[in-house]
Amino acid sequence: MNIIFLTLGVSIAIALLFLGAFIWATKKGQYDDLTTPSQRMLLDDYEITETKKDEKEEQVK
Amino acid sequence: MKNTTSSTGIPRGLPKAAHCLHCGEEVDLSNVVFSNGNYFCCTGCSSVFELLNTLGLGNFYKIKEEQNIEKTGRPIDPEEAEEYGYLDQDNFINQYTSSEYPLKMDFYIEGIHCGACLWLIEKIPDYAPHIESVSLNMSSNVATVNFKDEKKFSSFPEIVKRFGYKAHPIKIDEEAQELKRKENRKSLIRLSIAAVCAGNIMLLSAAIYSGAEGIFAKHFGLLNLLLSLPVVAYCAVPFYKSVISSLRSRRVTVDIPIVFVIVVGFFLSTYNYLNGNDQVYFDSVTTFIFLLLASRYFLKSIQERITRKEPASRLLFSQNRILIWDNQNKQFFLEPIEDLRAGQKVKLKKGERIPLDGKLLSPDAELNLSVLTGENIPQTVLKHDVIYAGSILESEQAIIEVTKTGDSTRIGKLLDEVEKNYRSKISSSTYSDKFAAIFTLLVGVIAIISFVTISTIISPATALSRVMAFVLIACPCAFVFALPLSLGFSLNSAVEKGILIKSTQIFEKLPHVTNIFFDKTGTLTKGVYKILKWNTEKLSEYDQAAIVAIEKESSHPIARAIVSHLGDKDVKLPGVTNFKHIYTKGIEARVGNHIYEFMSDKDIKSSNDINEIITTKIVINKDGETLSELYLGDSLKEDAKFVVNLLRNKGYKLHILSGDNENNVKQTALKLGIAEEDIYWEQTPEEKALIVKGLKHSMMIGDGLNDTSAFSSADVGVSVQGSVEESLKVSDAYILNNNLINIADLLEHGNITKKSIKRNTLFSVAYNITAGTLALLGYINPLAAAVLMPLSSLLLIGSSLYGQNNLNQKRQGAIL
Repeated sequence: MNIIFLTLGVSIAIALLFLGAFIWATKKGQYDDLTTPSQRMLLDDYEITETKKDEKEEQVK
Repeated sequence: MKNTTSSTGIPRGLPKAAHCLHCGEEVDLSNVVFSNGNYFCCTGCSSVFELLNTLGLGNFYKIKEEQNIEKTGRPIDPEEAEEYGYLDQDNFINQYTSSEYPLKMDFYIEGIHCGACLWLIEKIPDYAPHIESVSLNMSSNVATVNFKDEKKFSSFPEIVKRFGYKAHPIKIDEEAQELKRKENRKSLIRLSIAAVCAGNIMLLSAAIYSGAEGIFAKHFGLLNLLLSLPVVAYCAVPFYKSVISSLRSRRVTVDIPIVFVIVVGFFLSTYNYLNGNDQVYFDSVTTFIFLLLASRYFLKSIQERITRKEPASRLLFSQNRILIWDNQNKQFFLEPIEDLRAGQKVKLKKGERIPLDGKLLSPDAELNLSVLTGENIPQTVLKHDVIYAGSILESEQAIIEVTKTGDSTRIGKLLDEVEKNYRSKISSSTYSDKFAAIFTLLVGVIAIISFVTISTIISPATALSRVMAFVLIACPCAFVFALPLSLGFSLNSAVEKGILIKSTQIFEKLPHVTNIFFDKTGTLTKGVYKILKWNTEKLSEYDQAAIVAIEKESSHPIARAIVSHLGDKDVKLPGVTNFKHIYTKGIEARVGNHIYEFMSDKDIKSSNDINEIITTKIVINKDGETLSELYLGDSLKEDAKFVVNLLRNKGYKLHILSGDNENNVKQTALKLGIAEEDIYWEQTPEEKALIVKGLKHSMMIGDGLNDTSAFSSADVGVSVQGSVEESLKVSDAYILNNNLINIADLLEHGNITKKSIKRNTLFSVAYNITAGTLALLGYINPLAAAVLMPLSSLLLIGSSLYGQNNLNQKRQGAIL
């Protein structure tokens, strides 16, 4: 039954691994803004449609 | 809505309802902008539409369509937004950038609504030559912009201005921002560690409870002890800190019994484990801490979504520089507003909000005083008259001598007062703090009595273990989990309905409200000044064209209303000469050989229409003879009468509190059936606050800065219009979609939250009596605690959710 201690050690090690990953992600700021990224990923496919370049530059100016 | 066709003369062939292609607002067909086969509500919307298409940003509308976004709000008039050239000057660059990132600037953006806005803003670097990258945070509406060139910071706000958003540069306080961010991350890390440890402890404890013995029990117990160490020593730190500070200020908070449970539970369990005793509660203690941290994190994150960090006065005075007279160079120079001193002379231009108290030096000026009166119709002030900060200049320009600046201006003092009132409101003890005081006292007393009794009857050792079990299991759950959850759920569902709530304390006050004060203009009425009655059929084409031509010379709201009423007909407008204002009476001008006069007449009869409030009568004279008469005014919001009746039937006492004149307020009260002794007219902001203070259990509903001191004097202040950020600084709740019915909803929310709190309290009392008695009689062992404690928490969470469902169902019932 000593195998239990091995599995226990492994399971706690895995738990700590995931905890570490979570803490790393938090410190990197991945949970700072939960609203925008979920929107942003939906908008990846939309591009600016081509227009005459000089006209565009004129507008920006 | 009824008589519009006859009185405004819309062609009958047009569809009855249309929506603006850009902002999605319903278009008033008497005032529609029709361009390239599309309807727009205003030229602002149509020009943004054209601009987006020329820039190849037409996908904005595709995104809106695919995400089912109907309304995006009207674009801000580019004329209204400030010019940003000052951002490129060195003294401003230093204020708004940090030395670490000299090319980075943060902007608070007004007018962000949805994913389509996000796309529009973040695509800017693709075509703007000076901008490296833009990243927008939609929960705070702050865009972080990296620039390519050092002195082109103005390019970003100039671009978004043309899309209809307003950008305010934010002074970067890196330290404060960083601190807040770190605090947020830390609480998330605390929560995650508590989750991992409590979860593993539960698994190991389950093995112990189901009969693990000998070496297993011993090692599992040791692991439990080790795993609970970080939870007690690190995750629970915020509770210790809060207890220390509350002890210092000699206040009892709900955190005291919490810390007591944690400390007793942990040390008792450690002691018992080391002595080979099986009274070990590591699982209960850690689960308790985890649930606590989770419920607080949840409530905090909802609250943070609503409250913004910008100070009200900064948003009010959005311009950052002003033209100050330089005596040496005999010229006006653009200087930072912070440098303004009393005695200086400043020059202001049309549309600017005056950031100082002062005396007018120009012969006369037109000012919009809505900040003090709530009325949008400009008033004329003469030389040497006093001018208050917050007014908006409506005439071309004005030169003013400064008497007071910043916080010492009348409006500055008002806002200061408001802030002070709020601080004292918040520091008053809450329901849960009062409960905590009683709870802690009661548990303490029972524990001591029981200890003495049990040790005389049985033995001191038994007494100690039973009393400890009692303290541990007597849990203030109703207040540590259920209250934040109930409040959090209420907040969330209020937000979904368009009611933003600043402080959850509002829910404790709402059920007591008996007096409701309404501001008039913009709250009960639409606050839109337009022509209500005017028979234009008798007017000849020539007269109509002459009237439009004359009124186009003026920017007064009456003139604008007349021009938009007669519409932009494709007639050639005649030339206007000798245009002049006749002080307080009207205007006069010559067209061709005729002299036209527009005079206001005091002889006003009230309108028969149930919603219309006539405030002004204008008589048009041509060569001394009366040509036509027209009536202008405001109208009640569509649901005003319904909501007023609903609230009256529910037993609330209703009042009107307005800065407008007697006649207009009386007309409004009459139409709504509010008694004459309950209405107040021509009230200054200071007087409004006094009246509200005079009556107990009051709620103030208003729309502007002139109501702010009344908001803070009332138990509950609700604002219904204006910018969210400004309003939430000064009121308890903000109603987004301008529907008065939400006021009734808000009151209902208060009642239901109170009921749910009551139910939770009752349940918690019953639980504590039962479990406490069992503990003192010696029936509670760790297994019973491990089952009972989470079970009671779950029941309370369920009860809070149930209250919420109840509310939603009730709402649907009301809508159907």
